[in-house]
Amino acid sequence: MRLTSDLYFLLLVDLAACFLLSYFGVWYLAFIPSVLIGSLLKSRWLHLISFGFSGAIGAILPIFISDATARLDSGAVLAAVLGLPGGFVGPLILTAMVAFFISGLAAVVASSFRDTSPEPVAIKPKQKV
Amino acid sequence: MLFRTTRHPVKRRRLIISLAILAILLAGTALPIGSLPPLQKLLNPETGIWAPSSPVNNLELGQQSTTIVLNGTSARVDLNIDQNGFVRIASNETWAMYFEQGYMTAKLRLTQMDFTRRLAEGNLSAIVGSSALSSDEFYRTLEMYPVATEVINNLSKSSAAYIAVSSFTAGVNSYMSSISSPSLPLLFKLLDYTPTQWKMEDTYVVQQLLTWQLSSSFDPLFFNYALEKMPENVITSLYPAYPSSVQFPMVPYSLNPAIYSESGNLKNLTLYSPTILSLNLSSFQTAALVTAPRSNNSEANSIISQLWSQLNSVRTTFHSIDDKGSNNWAVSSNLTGGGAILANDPHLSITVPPIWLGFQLVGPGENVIGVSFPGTPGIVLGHNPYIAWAATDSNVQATYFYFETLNPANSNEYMHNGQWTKFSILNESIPVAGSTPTSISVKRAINGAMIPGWNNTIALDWTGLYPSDELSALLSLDVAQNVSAAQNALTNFKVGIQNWAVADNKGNIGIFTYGYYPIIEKGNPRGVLPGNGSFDWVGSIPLSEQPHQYDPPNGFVFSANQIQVSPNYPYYIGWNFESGYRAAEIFTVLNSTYKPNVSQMEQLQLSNHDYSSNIFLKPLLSALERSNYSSIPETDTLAAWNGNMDLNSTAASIYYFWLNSYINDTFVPYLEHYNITVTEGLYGTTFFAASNAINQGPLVEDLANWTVNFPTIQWFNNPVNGEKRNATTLMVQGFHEALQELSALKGNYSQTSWQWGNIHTRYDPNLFGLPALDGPALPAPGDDNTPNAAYGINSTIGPSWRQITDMSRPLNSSFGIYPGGLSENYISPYYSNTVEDWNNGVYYTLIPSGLPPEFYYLYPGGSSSP
Repeated sequence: MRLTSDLYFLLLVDLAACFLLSYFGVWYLAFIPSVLIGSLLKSRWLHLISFGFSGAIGAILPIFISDATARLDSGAVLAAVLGLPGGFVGPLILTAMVAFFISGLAAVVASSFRDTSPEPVAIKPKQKV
Repeated sequence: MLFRTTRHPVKRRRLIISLAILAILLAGTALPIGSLPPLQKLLNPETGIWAPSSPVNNLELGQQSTTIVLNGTSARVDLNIDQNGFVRIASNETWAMYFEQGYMTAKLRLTQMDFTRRLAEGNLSAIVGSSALSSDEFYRTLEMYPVATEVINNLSKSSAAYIAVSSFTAGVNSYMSSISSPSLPLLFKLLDYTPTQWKMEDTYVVQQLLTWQLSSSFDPLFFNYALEKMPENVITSLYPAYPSSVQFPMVPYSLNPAIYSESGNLKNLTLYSPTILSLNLSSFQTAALVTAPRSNNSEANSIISQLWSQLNSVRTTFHSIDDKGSNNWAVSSNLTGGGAILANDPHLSITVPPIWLGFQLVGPGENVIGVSFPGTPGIVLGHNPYIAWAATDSNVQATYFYFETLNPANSNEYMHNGQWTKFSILNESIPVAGSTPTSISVKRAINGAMIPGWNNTIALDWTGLYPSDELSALLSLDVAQNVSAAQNALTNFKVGIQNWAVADNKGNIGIFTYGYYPIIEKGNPRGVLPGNGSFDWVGSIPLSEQPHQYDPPNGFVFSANQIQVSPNYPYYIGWNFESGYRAAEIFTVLNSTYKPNVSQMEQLQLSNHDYSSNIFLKPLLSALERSNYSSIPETDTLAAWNGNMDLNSTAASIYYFWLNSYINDTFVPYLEHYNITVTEGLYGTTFFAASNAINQGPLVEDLANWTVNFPTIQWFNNPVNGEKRNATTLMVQGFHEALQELSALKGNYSQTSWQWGNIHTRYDPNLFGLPALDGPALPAPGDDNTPNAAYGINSTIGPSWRQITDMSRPLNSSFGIYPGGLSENYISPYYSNTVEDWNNGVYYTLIPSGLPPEFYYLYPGGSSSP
């Protein structure tokens, strides 16, 4: 199964939208772009996983674009306080996972809804015997 | 053609399942997780934990200028921050100076300030939940907030204190308004709350909390327990009212006989027997007590043990301050041949962030540098161009306990002077995070605050329950120009009595232990007193008779929490002072040093010599000589030892463990014999004995006295089994145990692995009890008895501030350091950056060269105005 260029474009849109949502402090709304874009897709698992990743990357990007060191240090402090190993990696993975599931599941929902939309099926007329 | 619609059942199931999971995920991440905020909030990349907390990304060192506008008035402020822990503020307006101090304190220590006021006001439960409820209930009984309100109401708006506190408050609030929620420090995000505006009352409450922590003691409850359980002859021998061993009183009769001239209250008191006979402590069952965990030992349900566990809960909720001791001294120009020199090292909790924050404050007619408590304006300890001052805790008794007889028909009344008297009652509601508010009634009797949860029968009277304005005294010290002015300022310092040493630039020195010393006319203030009106406080020791010295002929004054006065002092001021070994060391060095200079004072402040070895070592070696241990390497090491608790000393380790064993072997049998057991919560306090009790408490003083003067005294015998013992047998036994302990800890004897530096550390726990944010643990010299004090094996208490100032050249020859750093933010480079230097005995020049001229204002060569 291969990703088409259209899909790449949609993933990029999703990533950008999730980045903006995260940048403005409402990262948990990442499901909105995924729902909108997911409704255009057929529910193939690879696509849906891809949207999870694009949402996750978009959501955590703001951590790296300004004061990255201080932000990662803050994550490391949280990890230390909560007793998580691995410094900032743990909280970062946790943050990305939350975004991944929100975005990916929203895409699943939207595409599944599209797939289950009523489709016209031809009814054969009864044949007269 | 006809059509019908159809749905794929598998895909519909997928839709439903994924929708459900998404809904659960969104809802789940929107709900709090235990004490943590919702993940949506906590992990928010822009506003949650990932957002850098102030001030890590906006703390700029070096010189800055700003203009402050307050109530339509503007003022320029120059700011200079250095990495050694000092914020320098200069302004031509006093209010602007304090405003900026408030602003910078909040910027650097907002969490510390908020937690401190919450602890004092009984508001911790609102953010940490029911675990802090007992702490909140207790502190609300002290009514610090109402007392603070009364103090402020009594202030003139033109007074220095009002201007300082109101400007400081405005500065704090200005900072809080300037930061967005994402920039709040870590703990606010973790606990998911935003601090409320600072109020003037908060400053006074913070100060009250500090005086409480420095002056309070629950010894009378413990002692009453001992009085009931032990016969009077045992009490007399084990717990004498005046220290039984070596002490160098701060104000001995020979140096100030005037304070001994009047007849006081001492002879009317009964200091060896309980005033309340047969006070059945275990009968005070309360609701809190009933619900508390019980052991099989019925005695474990006594009021004392329950109270002890309650106090532990209070103490561990928030580190705040533990006070173990302190040193200060001043040497006059007569002795130095130059200027007067002052030294200070208060031994308080060593935490990160530290309890201190360094400031230099320059305003009209004022240029003062030193350390302040975050939350209060001005400088607490430091110097200005004219005087330097220092404080140690006086250990004077400031808390008294009374048993109130309740009216059986009305529990809101108690017997006082033959009449049923109503408690004054304050109904309070304590907000609790994650739960409904808890309502309590705070009761106050004439003899003080009723301790919560104890059936309202025990009243705690503390000098701080009544309004007094210590802050004004401290602010007056900041601008005092000679020792006499400082002495005058200190007459207003009533609560949390300190031994204040002062030196001025004319070469004068003094030491003043001024404050409110309660006088009772009869009974035993060492224990619990009846609250019937016959044992009330009737006044204070007159100021002229309070311990003080001004320019004594020997040329120096000093204190190290030893008793202030000689045995013939006519007033009762307390009895549980420190053992006096640090005081003896300081006295010995000052008394024998020819023309002491700054360098020698630094050496004394950093001295690792344990004076107790002067007393115990010789008898110990003599005892070992006559034992099986006479020719083993451990004994040889000890014989060659100089008494210094140095990092590379093996003898230091042996001696430390030996002294602990010797104390415990001698006295623990008494605790067992009189049923003072571990489960009572008493064994383990320094009052009775402890795993680490070498520094204080009366028992080590008894032991020193008996070992040297009465080595076969009956009190060495084991009261449990009648075994005949003496100093020699117990010293040898203690030595055997010490070697066993060290072997278990570090393997067989070795000159390297048994070195003190491999056993003894200092470490700086996080102030808020988060172990992950602790400061570094470092091998440390010293012990509980050395001037460079490091209490316990893993020491968290020690010299929280070191200062040496030569008042003939206070600009160039004043040095200091406090462990920690400027910022409370763990990821700041200024979180714990001074700890290693401090542990290594490094001093920083307090006012270094190269600063803008305003910071040398009032000093030679400084600018003519701030």
